[in-house]
Amino acid sequence: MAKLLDKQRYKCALGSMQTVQAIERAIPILHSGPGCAQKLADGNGSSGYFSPNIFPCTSINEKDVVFGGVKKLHSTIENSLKVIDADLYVVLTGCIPEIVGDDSGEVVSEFADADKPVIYAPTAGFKGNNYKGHEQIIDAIIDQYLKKTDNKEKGLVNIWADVPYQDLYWLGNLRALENLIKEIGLTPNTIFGYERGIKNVDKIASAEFNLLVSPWVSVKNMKKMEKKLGIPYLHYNTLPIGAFETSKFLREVGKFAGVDEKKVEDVITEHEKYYYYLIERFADLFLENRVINKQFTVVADAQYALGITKFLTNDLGLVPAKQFVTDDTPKEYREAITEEFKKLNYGLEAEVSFETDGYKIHEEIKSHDYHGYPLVLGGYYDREVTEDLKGNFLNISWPVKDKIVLNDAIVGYEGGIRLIEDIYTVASQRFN
Amino acid sequence: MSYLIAVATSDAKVVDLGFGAAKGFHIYEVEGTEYKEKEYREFAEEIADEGVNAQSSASSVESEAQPGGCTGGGNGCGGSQAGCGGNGSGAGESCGGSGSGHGGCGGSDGAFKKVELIADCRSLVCRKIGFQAQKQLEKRAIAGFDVDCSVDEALSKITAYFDKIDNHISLRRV
Repeated sequence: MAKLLDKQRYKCALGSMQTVQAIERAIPILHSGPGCAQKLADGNGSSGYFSPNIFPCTSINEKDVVFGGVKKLHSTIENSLKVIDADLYVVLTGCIPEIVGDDSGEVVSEFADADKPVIYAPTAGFKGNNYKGHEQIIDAIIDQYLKKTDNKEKGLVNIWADVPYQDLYWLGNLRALENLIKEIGLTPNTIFGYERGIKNVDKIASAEFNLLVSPWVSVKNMKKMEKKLGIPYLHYNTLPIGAFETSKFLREVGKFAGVDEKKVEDVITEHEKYYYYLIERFADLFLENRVINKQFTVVADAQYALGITKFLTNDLGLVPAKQFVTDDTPKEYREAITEEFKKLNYGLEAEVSFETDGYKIHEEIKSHDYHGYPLVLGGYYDREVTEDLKGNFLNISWPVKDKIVLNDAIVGYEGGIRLIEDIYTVASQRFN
Repeated sequence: MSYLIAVATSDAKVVDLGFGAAKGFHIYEVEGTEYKEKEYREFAEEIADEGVNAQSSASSVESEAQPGGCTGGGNGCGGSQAGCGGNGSGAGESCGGSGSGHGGCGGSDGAFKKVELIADCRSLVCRKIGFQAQKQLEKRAIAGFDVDCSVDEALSKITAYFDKIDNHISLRRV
């Protein structure tokens, strides 16, 4: 019996065309039916030099299903190379060509001698969601573009964190992580966003190590790079938000990279002083318990659910109710992530549910006793249920309709403060 | 249940004719994935011409009114197409009639007549096909395939495809 999935929080693997778009001057070439790019585009900061409306697409139809669409793919790539001025062309396959068996890899290999690099990633919808699609894109870059080098640059660190566009703060978060790494004396390298592009992709292979800040997305990529390019990696599974986690993060990265301990501690001290100065000034507001809710729930991908749960518990002293991870986390990572949710300060543990069905999540939220009004941080889908419970709601995960984020971040000391501002803005509005 | 496929070919071996250039169609009857030639249907152009003349002489008002409709930019051919569907064959003929006189909608008329000829077929195979003709086929739910291959290759692929669709078999190639 087919199951219906209500209000899922991700898109099909082809949605990772946005990962390609986040690499400046890289363009996805879609081998899919007409309309895929249009449907998958978020319209949240996706216009610019290239936008989903102009992504080249084979727009395959019935004829290509019967007779194969490889000829059309060939001509689409050929003409894209002629008329679109890009640095990297990434061919993405949708469901139809993968089902009927078009050998897209073979077609792409015919462009090995093209002036610009053309690579290919299988991103059929039935192979998984856009989190896995994101991994496929990175894999394609590693497999088909990057080459091993012995020319390592001392202190150069590749940073991998949020999935672009799926996470609304992706750009700001990456920049914030870069700044933190820079402050402890390392050189960050990221490939997404403003002025990164192909020149930073080229630098990946010469990095000293990879830093992955994510519970599970891209773990595979890190292993692949370790094997193929000989780059070791540090898998840090919690997105550091607020002072407690960020200090811990800096210490761990510093230790892994062999940075002088004193240098790291100096950076931490300086940041913490300012951070707690801000907190102290508003302590009376935080302590006035009628303003904020006693218990909270995060409905988001593993990255945000874990990061925000730790922040709200460790830094703000709130009590976690059940947390919901909505990104369809692969089974092999679930146990480790569940364990992470138990590592909270004050002997607290958070229960976590890997649930993709919005209906079930809402039923659980409705039936839980929050000892007052709930605080829910989630996708726009969760707004209504929170309002029904007279709770406070903040839109921090996909889908985002409540918030416009240009380059704001929730990572680091500064990011924690931003999140506090947002939460208490929502909470205090109630008493105006 | 058997169905028919029309093929635009000059020698019944290679799909070598465009839809517009075809003087007639080889009609194949398909049962499952087996197919055999059933007949050759000739497209009688004079019938179309007679129809046009009759139309023009019978109603000069209409044929004068039509050129405006056909040459009137975006509304022209699209309008005539809507006319064909909406008002039945009568509107189609009158539009075509004016078209052949003024060079506007002639294609649409030819396409319309030819599609009529193969209206009982499930699919049409030809070398090339124009936009108007393709739309006329779609209107009658005839699957048009413009391909560059032999008749046998085309028919075996198309019959295999329809067979899977009809029997709810996945199209996934192993």
